[in-house]
Amino acid sequence: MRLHSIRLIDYRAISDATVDFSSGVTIVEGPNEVGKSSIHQAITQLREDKDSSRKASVKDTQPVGSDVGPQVELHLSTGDYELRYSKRWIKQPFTELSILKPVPEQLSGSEAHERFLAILDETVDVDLLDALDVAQGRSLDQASLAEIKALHGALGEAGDELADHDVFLDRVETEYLRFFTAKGKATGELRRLTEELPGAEEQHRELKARSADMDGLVDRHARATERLTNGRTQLESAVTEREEAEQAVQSVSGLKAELDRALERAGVAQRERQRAEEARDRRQALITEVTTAEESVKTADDALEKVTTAQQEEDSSLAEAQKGLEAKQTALLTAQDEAKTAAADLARARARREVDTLRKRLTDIRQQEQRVAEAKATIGSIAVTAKDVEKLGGLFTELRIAQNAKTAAAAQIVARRLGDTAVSIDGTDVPKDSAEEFAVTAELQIFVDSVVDITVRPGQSPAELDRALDSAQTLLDAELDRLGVATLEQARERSEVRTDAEAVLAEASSTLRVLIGDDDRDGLDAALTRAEHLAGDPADTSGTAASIDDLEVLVESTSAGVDDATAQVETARTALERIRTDRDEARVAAVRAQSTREQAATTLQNLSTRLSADREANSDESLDEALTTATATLTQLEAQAAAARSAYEAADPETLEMRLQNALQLVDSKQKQQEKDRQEVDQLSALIDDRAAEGIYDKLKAAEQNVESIRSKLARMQRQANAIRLLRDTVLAHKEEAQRRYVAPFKEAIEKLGRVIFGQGLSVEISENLEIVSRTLDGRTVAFDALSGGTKEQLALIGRLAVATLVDAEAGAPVILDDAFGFSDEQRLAALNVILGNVGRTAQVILLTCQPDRFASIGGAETVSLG
Amino acid sequence: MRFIATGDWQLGMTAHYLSDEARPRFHRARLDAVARIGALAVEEGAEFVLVCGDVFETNQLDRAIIARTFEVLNAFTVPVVLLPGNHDPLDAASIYDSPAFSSRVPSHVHVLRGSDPFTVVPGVEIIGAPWSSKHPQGDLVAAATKDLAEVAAGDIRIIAGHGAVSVLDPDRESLATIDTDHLRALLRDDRAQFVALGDRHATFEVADRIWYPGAPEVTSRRETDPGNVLLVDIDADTHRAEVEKVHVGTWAFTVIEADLNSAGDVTEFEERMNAVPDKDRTAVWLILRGTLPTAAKARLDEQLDHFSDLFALVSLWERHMDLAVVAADDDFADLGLSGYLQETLDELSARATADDDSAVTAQDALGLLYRFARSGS
Repeated sequence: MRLHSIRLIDYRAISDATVDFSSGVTIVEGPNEVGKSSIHQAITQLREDKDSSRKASVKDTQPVGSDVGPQVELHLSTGDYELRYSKRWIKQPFTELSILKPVPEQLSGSEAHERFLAILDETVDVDLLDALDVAQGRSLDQASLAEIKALHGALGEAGDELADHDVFLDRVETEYLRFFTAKGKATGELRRLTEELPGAEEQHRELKARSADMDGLVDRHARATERLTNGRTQLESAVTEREEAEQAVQSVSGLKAELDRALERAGVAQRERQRAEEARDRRQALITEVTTAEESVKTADDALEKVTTAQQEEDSSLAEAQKGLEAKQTALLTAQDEAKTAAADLARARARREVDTLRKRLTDIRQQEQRVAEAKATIGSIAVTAKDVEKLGGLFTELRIAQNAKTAAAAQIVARRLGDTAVSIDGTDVPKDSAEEFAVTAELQIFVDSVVDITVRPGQSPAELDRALDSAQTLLDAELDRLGVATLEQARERSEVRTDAEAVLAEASSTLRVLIGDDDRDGLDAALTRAEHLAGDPADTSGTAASIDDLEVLVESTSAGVDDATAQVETARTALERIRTDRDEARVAAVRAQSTREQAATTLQNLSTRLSADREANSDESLDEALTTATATLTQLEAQAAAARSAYEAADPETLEMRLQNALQLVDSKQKQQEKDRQEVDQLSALIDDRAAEGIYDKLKAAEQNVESIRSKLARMQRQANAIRLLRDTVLAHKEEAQRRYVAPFKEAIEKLGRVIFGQGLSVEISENLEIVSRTLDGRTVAFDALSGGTKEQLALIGRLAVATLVDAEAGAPVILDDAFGFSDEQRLAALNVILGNVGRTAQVILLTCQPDRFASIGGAETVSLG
Repeated sequence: MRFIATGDWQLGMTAHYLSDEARPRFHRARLDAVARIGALAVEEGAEFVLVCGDVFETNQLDRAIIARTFEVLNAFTVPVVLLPGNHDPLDAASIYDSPAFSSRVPSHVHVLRGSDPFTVVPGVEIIGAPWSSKHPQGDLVAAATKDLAEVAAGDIRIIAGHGAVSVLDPDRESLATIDTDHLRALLRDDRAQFVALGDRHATFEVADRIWYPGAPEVTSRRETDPGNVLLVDIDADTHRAEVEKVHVGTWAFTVIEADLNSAGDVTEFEERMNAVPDKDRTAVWLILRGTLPTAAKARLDEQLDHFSDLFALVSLWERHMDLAVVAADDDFADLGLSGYLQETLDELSARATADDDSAVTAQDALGLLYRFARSGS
């Protein structure tokens, strides 16, 4: 197919333009707004859209602001045909087809449209037409070449023709897809079964295990049952042992019970005896009490009687005492009278005697007073006093002392008569056998009759001694003078007369003083007068004959009588008071005794009543008898208890008890074991019953069957899958090989063109769909999609150009490139220009561009301007 | 006196290997066989039916089976005596002790729970040796019968046991093995007149008057003579016994072997299969050997699919199979393969003759190639 020219009228911005295409490369230049792309669009629209079309893309081609219909007219050759094909849309639409060759024909309307398409279909591969038509912006995409029959034909001629086994392959694929996904994974039934198998197997295993489990449970049950049976036997023997032990213990406990009973009986008897004893004791106590009460009553009676008597006695005593007191009082009065009389008599008698006394006294007094006067006269006549005598004596002594001192100073003669011859010294005989001392103060003569006369003269005496002697003599003489006496004797005689007088005076004075006493001397005279008055008439001597002493005795006796009477009255009164007290006490005692008696009587009454009542119930004898009986019973029972104890202890109850406990525990443990076993059996039974109802076998068989079914199906399926996979793999391998051989020319064409741009190191991989899969440059392989935009565009274009070179010119289609190679740099563009120039020698290439300079170096290219 | 000896009813047994459709029918067939035994008893005037163990497949069955069993047994007009066997022992999980059993057991159905003599009909007593666990510690029959006295004339004593007898049991160490000599001695001493045993599903006479009646309906493809019951006549006075085998089973488990080396062989095989009667009650295990061209194998596969729809089971006994496929030139010549398909055929054909498992896959792939190419041409 070749395009000769195209005319656009009122199409977009173009009012009327015609472009002629060369058979090689035609460069259609024009700015964008003029619509170089309109050519590309117009060709497509002419082919695809009927004149009646109202779709947006059609409407868009109407010039803006004018009410005209866009119109396109294309002049082309295809196959044996040369055609002119015109269409106008929207306004006065029409379609006209002028067939110029081989047989001229004119058609219009739909017929023209249909016919045109039919001719295209007949003469050109529409797919190829589309594939080689690169609209603006689509230059990066590879053309879909796989279905292009024209290319197939071209390749088939060049290499191996690819046999058409599509139906077979479809079947293979369909069969394959039954088992596998496109990516080779198991799918459908195969996958389902493969997936189901583990589950089914697991279920089968589980059920098998459950069944085995069930068998296990049954076995366990059997073992447990056996244990239970054995346990039962053991339990039975344990029970037997326990029973024996229990029996033994029971017989012992019989003994124990007997012992207990005996002890209890003994206890009862003990208490019984105690009760009897107590009853008896109480009775005895009661009797004693009664007796005591009786005694008390009696005592009370006695006491009462005694007290009553005493009271009476006391009463009479009191009366007597009263009387006695009165008598004593009378006697007292009498005695008092007597005493008074006697006293009066005595007083008179005394008065008389006082008169006498006073008279005699006064006489004495006067006598004495006479003597005093005489004594005093004597004394007055003598001056030497006793004291003077004493002093004179002293002086005389002094003289003697002085004399003696003179003597002492003289020699001393001590004489002792030895024989019977008398010896006198100074006239003094010396006694035989005793020493006699002599002072020699003067001449001394020692004369021994018929033997010797010896005179001893004293020596000269000391002066002072002589002076003392003279002094003493002087003093003595002086004193003698003063006293008017010659000697000491005379002095002494005179002093004695005076002393006698003084003694008389003293005596008389003393007597006088005694006589007067404390009385007043003058009062004595008055007293005599008074006494004389008292004495009365001295003539009246009646009744006064009795002497004072008699009177005094009488007074004394009468006074005593009064005192006696008074005392007796007092005594009587005291006695009366005592008796009265006694009587009151007796009265109280009597009352008390009465009440005591009454109390005792009541007590006795009560006790007696009780006793008799008690006795009525139990006689004393019966109580005694009961006690005796009880004691006897106790003794007997205690003996029995002792016997029972011996019997019990003899049976060795402790050992028996241990045996029994062991047997009990044994039974207990066996029972527990039994219970445990029974529970296990029961549990297992329950479990088994529970599971038995499940129908495990049926489920297991179903599961088994399921597994078998899945397995056998899966095996079949797998076998089929293996078969189809093998077939598919084998077929596809061979097909691929065939295809590889088939795409070889295409690959070579691309590489040949491509090396202009990429150099000698270029190779490409082409898929069975005739797509460039990857580019290898100098051993480096890059997938198509991963290449840069420019490279992609260049390769995609080269692919199209390769197709154009491969396909026969008549069967081929023009390569229309709308604003392509925008991604290429100058160098590559230059290389592309070379390629396009080469392609243009065998194929029609139409380049629509707004930059015609880019394609300036394409050899053989014609450039036309649009608009 | 006449009775029916049977055993190994295996009620509730399922055959997982059967098709979904056949499985419930097979399940039901066991009950149907029991029903036929009841009918047989009436027809033949049997006085009772003795089932020697494994009445039920297992104690772990869904208890619904009991109701269905009783429904069948209710139709029996004679006593039915059941002996618990190794499949349904009187253990803790025993089906015989389940409420579903004990609450509804028909009065004429008796379970031998011990070895006390059971007088099933006047003059006839049965000594049972029931299993109380899956692992007996000795010869249960010997234990149950060791103290038996001689049977008086006019009376009959039958021993019912379960397990392998010593002359058959390959596991001589098994504690539960039944001492055959002891059984013989019992019969010889006239302490018993007949011994009926369960456990072996095929009918088998161990010795005179010692019989395995077998299962009344087949249970396994290994069984040689299943599906029978024994009609036993014993003269009460002479104590002589006669045994008649009566087939009551309706199912068959069959193994078919064929050498297939050509399309003709395949055709012949088809005819053999077509000739099998009662296909829906027949399970077939195939042992196919030989080498088939791809086309013949394709035909064989089609036919096997077809028979699978007819039979209760058509199974390839893989373990014994030895069937190869070769890509015969004739088969593919007509298909006019070209280009890479031809190359594919060549490669697969080469692979199909390999000596390993991949050959099978290659053969299968060839089959597919054949199919797809043929239908596409």
